[in-house]
Amino acid sequence: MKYLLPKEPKDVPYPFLVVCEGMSDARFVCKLLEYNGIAAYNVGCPSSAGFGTGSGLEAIPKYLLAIQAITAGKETLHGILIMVDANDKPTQRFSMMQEALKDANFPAPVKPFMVEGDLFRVAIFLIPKEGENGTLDGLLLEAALNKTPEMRSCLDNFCDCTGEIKSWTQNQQSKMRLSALVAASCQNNPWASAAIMWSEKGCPVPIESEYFIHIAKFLMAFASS
Amino acid sequence: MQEFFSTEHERCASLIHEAGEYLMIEKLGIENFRCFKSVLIQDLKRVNIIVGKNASGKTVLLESIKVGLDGLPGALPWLNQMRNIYTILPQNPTPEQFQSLFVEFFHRFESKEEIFISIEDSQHRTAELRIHFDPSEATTTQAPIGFQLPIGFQPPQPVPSAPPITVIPLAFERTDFQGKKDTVLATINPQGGLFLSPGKTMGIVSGLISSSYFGGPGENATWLSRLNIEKRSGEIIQAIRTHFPFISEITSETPLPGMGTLFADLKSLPRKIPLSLVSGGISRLFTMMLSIVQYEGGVVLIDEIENGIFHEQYPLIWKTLVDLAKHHDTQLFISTHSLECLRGLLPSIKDNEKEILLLRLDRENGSSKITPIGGKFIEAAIEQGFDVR
Repeated sequence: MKYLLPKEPKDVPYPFLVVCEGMSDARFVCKLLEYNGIAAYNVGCPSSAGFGTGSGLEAIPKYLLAIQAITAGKETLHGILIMVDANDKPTQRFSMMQEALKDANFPAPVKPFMVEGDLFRVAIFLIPKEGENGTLDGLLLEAALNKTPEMRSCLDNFCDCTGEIKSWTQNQQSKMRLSALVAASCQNNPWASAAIMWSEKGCPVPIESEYFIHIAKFLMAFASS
Repeated sequence: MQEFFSTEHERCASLIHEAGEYLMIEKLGIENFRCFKSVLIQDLKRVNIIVGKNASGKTVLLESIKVGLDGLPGALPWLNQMRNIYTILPQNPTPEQFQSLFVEFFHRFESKEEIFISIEDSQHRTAELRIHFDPSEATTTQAPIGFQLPIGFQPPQPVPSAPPITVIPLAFERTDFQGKKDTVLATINPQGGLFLSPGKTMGIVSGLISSSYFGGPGENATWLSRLNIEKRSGEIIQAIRTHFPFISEITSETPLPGMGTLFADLKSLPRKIPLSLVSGGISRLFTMMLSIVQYEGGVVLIDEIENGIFHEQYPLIWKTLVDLAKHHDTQLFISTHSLECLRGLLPSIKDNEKEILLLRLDRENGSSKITPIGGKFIEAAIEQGFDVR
């Protein structure tokens, strides 16, 4: 497994690429691949560390164009798996990624969670899972709270104390709760974020959680299909 | 840099006017030429940027375009000279010595196969060049040995002759953009020396600026004088001032009879100095600009654009060259090794996404292959910080 991030060499050494929205997501996918012993993937995401493009979901179309530019004619890359949050607009998210693949001259699946193509395969995985809305941060939070259920009421109380948070979107609340939990769990680095928590002692999210098994299975199936 | 006399320019210009529109190379096919076994590039653009590792064939690609557009035997030794390989043929050469002058132009030295270069323009007219050793044109000469005696001097005995030699000429079978066919030869003359048939080019003028060429003083001075006479030098002088504000003027001067030279007027100095003394890089950049104007309607080939130029200048240089190429309907093929230089291209791509193409060369199984990458893909890769070379 290898990060495929800007300013890294131009080579794409592994046959498949997971495209994520940002560094936090990419680090989670890397950790999951590592834990499950899946070695066939590069993992990447758009980055504002480049020369003008932003990061996040909106920059994935440009990231895919860039991947096409560096892999064209080389026949080293055999598949792209896009993993993005379903949020509360799964259909719109899927269409956006489908168009981005087409615009970059890659094949595109006709529906989410479906592996399309033979010589070059593509799929779009909407987090958390088929038929559910949500985000990776929400999934990470639930996995953490499943391990330490007593923290749920503590986080609820903290939200109540801060007042305005209850009016935030579900996604914003999940991020805030996860950040608070990570900060309170990593004594050596209370600044730790979801992007770097995996290497911190006391990381509150167990990568072995049953909440991630379906993602690991999809990654395995995509690489072996 | 190859000098084209105004008549050649005028002839090519008339072809462009006949076409009634900007003509450029859209398709290029190369077979059996140096590191290319067989490649076909389609949908070439106004600005084509060539990248790839050392020995991937970047310079050869430029050379093949030059050979294909010239279609003349003189192009081959000239290209070798650009690579510091000098064409030295003894008088009365053996057939092997003659053949050895050209055999390295053939892929894997397979001179039994022909070199084939086809170039299709944007009006779908095709110029084709087939280069091969042609036994049917075999030439036998028996040149005299020794020095020529002064007129009126009676030799004590008849001047001996060398044994007769027979060489198989290198034939250039040409079909130009107007469909006119002819054959010209590289062969030996009756005196046993190398003879390269002159002729007309294929119909699109071209100039090649090699990686080590920093501007021929006489040639550049002549070009600038011509542009001055036609009141067309303003834009490139202004561009130089924009790049290098300490230069207020560049002029063509003749300090010695017959020795035209470019001089720069620097704001800080009381007298002008030769441009090449100011900076080799500025001199080279000025040569590129002059070439784009000089080869208006044609093709300019630039090898290793970054040579001699400070990295901060790259974005402005790309913009200047692209703008000049658009203004003068000149097609550019530019090679570079530099990632910094490519990144400097970003602002120009944003404004000209559909007019820029990247050609990435890779060596595979002893031959070079070419992958074209469109403007929007290069833009995204540069923006995302990837290395597209």
